[in-house]
Amino acid sequence: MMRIEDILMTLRMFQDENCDVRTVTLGINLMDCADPDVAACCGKVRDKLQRLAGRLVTEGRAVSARYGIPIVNYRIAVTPVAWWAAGHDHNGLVRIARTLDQVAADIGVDFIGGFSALVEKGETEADRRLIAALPEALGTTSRVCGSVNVASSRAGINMDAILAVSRSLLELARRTAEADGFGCAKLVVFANVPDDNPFMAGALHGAGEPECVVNVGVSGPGVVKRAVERLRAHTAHPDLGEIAEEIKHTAFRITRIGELIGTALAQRLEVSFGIVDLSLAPTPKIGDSVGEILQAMGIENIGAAGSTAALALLTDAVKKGGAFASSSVGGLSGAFIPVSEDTVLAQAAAAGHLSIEKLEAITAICSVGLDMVCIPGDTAAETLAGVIADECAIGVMNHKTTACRLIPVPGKGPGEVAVFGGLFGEAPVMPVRAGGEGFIRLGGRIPAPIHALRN
Amino acid sequence: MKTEAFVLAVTARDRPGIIAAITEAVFALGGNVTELSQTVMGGYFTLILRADLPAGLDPARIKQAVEQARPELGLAVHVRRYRPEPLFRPAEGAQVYFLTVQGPDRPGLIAAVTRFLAEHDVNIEDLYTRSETGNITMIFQIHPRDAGALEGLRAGLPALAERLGVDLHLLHRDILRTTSEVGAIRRLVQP
Repeated sequence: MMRIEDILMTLRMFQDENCDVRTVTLGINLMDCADPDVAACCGKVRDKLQRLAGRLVTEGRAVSARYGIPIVNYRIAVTPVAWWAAGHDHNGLVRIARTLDQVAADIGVDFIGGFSALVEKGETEADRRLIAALPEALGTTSRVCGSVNVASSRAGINMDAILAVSRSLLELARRTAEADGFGCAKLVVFANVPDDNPFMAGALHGAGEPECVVNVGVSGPGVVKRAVERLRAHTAHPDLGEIAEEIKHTAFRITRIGELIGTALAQRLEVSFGIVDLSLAPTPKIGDSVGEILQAMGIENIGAAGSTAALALLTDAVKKGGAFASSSVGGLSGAFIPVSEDTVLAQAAAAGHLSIEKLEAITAICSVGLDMVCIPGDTAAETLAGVIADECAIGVMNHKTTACRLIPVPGKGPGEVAVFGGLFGEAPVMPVRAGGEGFIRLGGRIPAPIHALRN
Repeated sequence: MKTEAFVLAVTARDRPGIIAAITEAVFALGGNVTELSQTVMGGYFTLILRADLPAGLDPARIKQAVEQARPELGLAVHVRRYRPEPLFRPAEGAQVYFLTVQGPDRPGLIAAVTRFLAEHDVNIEDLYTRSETGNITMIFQIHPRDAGALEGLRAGLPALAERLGVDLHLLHRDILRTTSEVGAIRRLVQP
């Protein structure tokens, strides 16, 4: 018999603490689907996705049943569309997006990511067309997610691309105005985009990846929160070092479960196992919140002084535990702070404790970015571009991934609430400080930082 | 010298020197202990061992030799010839699980759960129980005979939990190994 306490601790993770595998994402290379004839291209895409991902959900359910571990989402990430759909016009790109949407529905996955372009150093004609097609492609499909990498530590920040994406973002918000601009929840603007991120909306199957690969995103904010609460309840005056140690051990367990499920599923699908993404992914469900972890650590109002340091401790401890648990850690592996998807964060934003500026500060240390942040629908494209550029600058200068999933909510302003429902939750519209538009309009590319010269 | 294997089960009130007395007695009979498991519960010692002893020994003689080696220890010994062929043989690929039972303690609970397992052709390989402040925790390491047995077990658990007023949870052994042991996942888990 194994140690009883180990058995009971693992049991608690599933019974009481919302531990699950948040997403299993199958990355698929679609470069061989390129074809100048759009109908032929869509046919190749359909055939390949059906061939490689057709059994994803069935096999995933079998693995889930065997081990008794919930897999919440099944998803597909494909090679950035701009790479293999070059030459197609606006209508062709929209048709490709609809094909991806239909195949995703047929296979039974809730999202398919990769309607993407990587333009940190400059845009091709295909990139420009894809960015222009984003509003219609994402606004008229339900499962297709897109992303644009506009900056990197090696190339600098493409300000022209940021402005173009910002205009598309506003148009996408207008097209989905009846859903409070929800279309924008399917579009991520990146600096230093990872090639193997399993989490939506920013998942894509990047360069250097194998033909087909299983990537896993684990969850577990509830598990970490309960671990911190237990430590504080059963230990007299635990200090922050002890809390970090407890989180590290907990992250070890969570990561191992992710790798087990990913390995088992990859075996069944006869494809490679890629990575476990360690990011703690919250949901609006009580007990499944990153904000609650900070509260358990003594930060009563998320956004108050000390919040950044607490998140730094949390993320670092998660990474240390995860890195020891698995040699296959990758993706984003940061702290998700999706305001609308985390009830405690949304409440902090509504109460005025959490501002966009504080969220930016957190990004500099550990968070992935401004995630599911609602801003006024009448925000100017240049102002929106400024927010994105600030976020990218943090990523570029710190050699880390940063991202923006901003939602301009049509017809709503600061203090009003955008409601998305389900796992996307709801959040207050947060004010944005305008006044830097002249800088944005100068355009061009902010050069790569000096530390890009590393060879 | 030709030998044959015997299985000895021993109980006694716990104190120092019991295992030494038992194994010295086996050694004095010309035997060699090949497998041994021992535990103490509520101040009572219990042990089961397998030993190779000279062929043809009468089990009653072994019992007497061990019990009389140190009469002051009050050993109660049961001896039988070892039969290697298992009476329960799970299907190839049948997986090992842990079944946890948690809830208010009451007479007949263990009997009800174990009868349920027996009826579903599930073998219990190990069992731990702890009852504190009116609540009981049971952890069974179980081996369903085949996929059908596992399916029947899974299907029947919700009704059993409701009937007994307890929480039941089934965990695959590999989950516990991966969360509790250090080592590459590929080496820990079964294909």
